[in-house]
Amino acid sequence: MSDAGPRRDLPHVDTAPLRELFAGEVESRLPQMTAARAALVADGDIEAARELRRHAHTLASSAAVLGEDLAADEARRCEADLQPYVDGDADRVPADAARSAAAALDTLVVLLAPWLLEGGDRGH
Amino acid sequence: MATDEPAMRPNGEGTVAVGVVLVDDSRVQRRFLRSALEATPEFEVVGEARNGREAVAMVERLGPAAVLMDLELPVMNGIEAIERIMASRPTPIVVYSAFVDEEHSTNAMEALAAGAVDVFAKPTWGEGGRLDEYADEIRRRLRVAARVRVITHPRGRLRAPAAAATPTAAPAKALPQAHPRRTDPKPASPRRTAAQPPVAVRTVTTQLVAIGASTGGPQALATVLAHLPAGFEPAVLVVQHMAEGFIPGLVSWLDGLIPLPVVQGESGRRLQSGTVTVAPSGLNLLVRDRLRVVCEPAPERQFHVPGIDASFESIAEAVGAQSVGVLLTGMGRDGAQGLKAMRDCGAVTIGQDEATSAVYGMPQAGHAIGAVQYQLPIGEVGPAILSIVQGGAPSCASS
Repeated sequence: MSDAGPRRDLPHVDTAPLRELFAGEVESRLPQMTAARAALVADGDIEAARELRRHAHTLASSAAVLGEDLAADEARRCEADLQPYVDGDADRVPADAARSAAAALDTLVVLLAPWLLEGGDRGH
Repeated sequence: MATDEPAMRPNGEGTVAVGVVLVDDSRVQRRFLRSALEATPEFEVVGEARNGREAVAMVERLGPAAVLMDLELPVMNGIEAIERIMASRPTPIVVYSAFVDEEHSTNAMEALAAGAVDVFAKPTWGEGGRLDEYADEIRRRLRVAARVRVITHPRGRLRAPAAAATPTAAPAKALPQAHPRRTDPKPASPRRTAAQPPVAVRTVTTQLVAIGASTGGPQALATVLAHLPAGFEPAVLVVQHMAEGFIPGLVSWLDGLIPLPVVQGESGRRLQSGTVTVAPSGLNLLVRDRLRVVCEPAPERQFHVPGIDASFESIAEAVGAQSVGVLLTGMGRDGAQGLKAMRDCGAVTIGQDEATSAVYGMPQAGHAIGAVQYQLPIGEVGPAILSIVQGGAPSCASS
């Protein structure tokens, strides 16, 4: 935009409190995602798919802020796999959507495990 | 109880802070956004909402100067929250989205249609320097958004023009001289800027209608283009300032909304009759002889890319009097000089009026230099284009 003004020194964003919050987010959401996946895989539960997608969306955003790009990408993949459930037409959900999302969650768990083990203190 | 004045609070530095409500279900994101905004005294986060429903209530209660919102929200999604806010407590809303690819950016376009004033991409990086740059980008966009004048925007209103955009409905406001059989008892009266002489009935064939827009543009474009019926003969070119990656979404969104087909411009192709071509991201779209398109990098100092001036000036040279230029809502001055060049070459030129512009910047700049022949409310721009193309001129009630 034309009125952005002269470029100034950028205020530094302190990521320490963000890491702490992210660790808490990982700790609370991963178990919920795992439970939702179980319901999705076992029963094709659409509400479970939507819940799983929501958590994936949130984790993806947060991971991106913290520079956890691989985790962010995997969470986005999980989210994208589950989008057809949100779009509402159950008949049009690809047959392997749940399986693919479930696999993405496995990868996500591995990628985010250090945050569970170390409470977010990963030497950043 | 909310007041009518947005939250602008003294910040102890002789100015007032822009009060902002953050909307995101991620605590990490909210914390990041808060620290990004409150790193300077010009912003104050007055509230944090975790979902769309909370956001609607919080905006109603706190009356912030601006809202920064994720599109994907639990309980009530972002689109619905935007619609509700714009219907009950119109507030400049800036949306950030994780999805900027062609498949998903339609969501972003829907956010703009619902009343958001700006959409940009979430970061996909994390190293410190870039995070700081992202924070700076957020502040810059909110700085602009907080100055945008917004109006009540009843839910679903933006979808109405498309539904009404049938070939029979659209020309209802066309000029009597172009359609003597029409008996519409109360034809619309596009306003002519008082200082300009009326335009005579046109004898030239219009080959190209060129439209430039910036902040608030997607909604304005939807309104204008919805009036152009299938079978509309001239080619239509749209140059919309938009963040990198969102143009394909704008194309698909418009394509689903209006009667004419909508495509993205490509170098070497020609602008097609009866087709809306949208200038691509990151390049200037220039029009050459026989409506051939050339897309080329912008000069280094050009701030907005694609540039409206660049397109309009090329049209003045290549198409001249056989074109119609339209400059819609937007901040800054881009498009004003180009519109003037078009007018000087005999094109008919239209500027959106102040009352219906989200930001009366570009059309005002055009008006100030005599580039705008007709200054019209947004609802009358489409019918005026039809009239001009059909050989008439907008009716001339003075503003």
